[in-house]
Amino acid sequence: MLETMTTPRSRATPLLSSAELGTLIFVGSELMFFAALISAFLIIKAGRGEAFVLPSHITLPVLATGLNTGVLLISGYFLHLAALKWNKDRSAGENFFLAAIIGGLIFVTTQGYEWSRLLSYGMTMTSSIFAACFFLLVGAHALHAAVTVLLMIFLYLRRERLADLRALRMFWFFVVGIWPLLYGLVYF
Amino acid sequence: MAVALRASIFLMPIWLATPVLACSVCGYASEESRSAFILTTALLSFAPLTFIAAIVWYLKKKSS
Repeated sequence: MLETMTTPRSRATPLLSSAELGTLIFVGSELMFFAALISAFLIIKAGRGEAFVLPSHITLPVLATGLNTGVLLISGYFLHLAALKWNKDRSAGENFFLAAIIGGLIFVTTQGYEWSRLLSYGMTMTSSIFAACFFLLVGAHALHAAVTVLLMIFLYLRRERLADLRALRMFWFFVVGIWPLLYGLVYF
Repeated sequence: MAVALRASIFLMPIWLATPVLACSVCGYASEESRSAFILTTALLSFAPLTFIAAIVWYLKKKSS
């Protein structure tokens, strides 16, 4: 009894930091948000049948977006490497982090450029049901990507702790991971 | 009295609600729509379960 009272209690290290746990819960809610959008897209597509198409004079930039998808996936991998190197080799970690930010910026700006081109061709939210679904689904993802890139820049400038970088990586993995699914659904 | 008031406030949405016609048959009565509804129901049902299972698996792996 005396021994138990005098021995200091060993403090168990948490499996996840508060930032990681919070991000994980947020990712769960975001997953359901995108699942609902995808469901709506599939149901509208099935209901409209042949009418669920682009206007005849517009073609989606499938190849350019495919290359952009590659850039986004590489950006996710770079952020993973940055988190791995962060405590061991800070310089390499920062370089990978910067590369991930650049990849994210390229993705967001290329998406923005594609959107401006589509809008200039007359494809807007109100032009057709497909256009409305396209802008809603792709726009929701682009908004998430843009905000996460801003967060990445903020954390890079502040040289944050590894726990925060891991939490950010968790969310970026979600944004990167869901994009190929959206790309396959909307562009093909 | 207070209980009755609280119950009235709680039940108010039921009185205010209007019926929503959003079933697959009312919307689009086709086989593709029916399949899409089944697929999306499965997606919305299994997505959170898969997510929770993945978290449990990850934490278990991390703790061992």
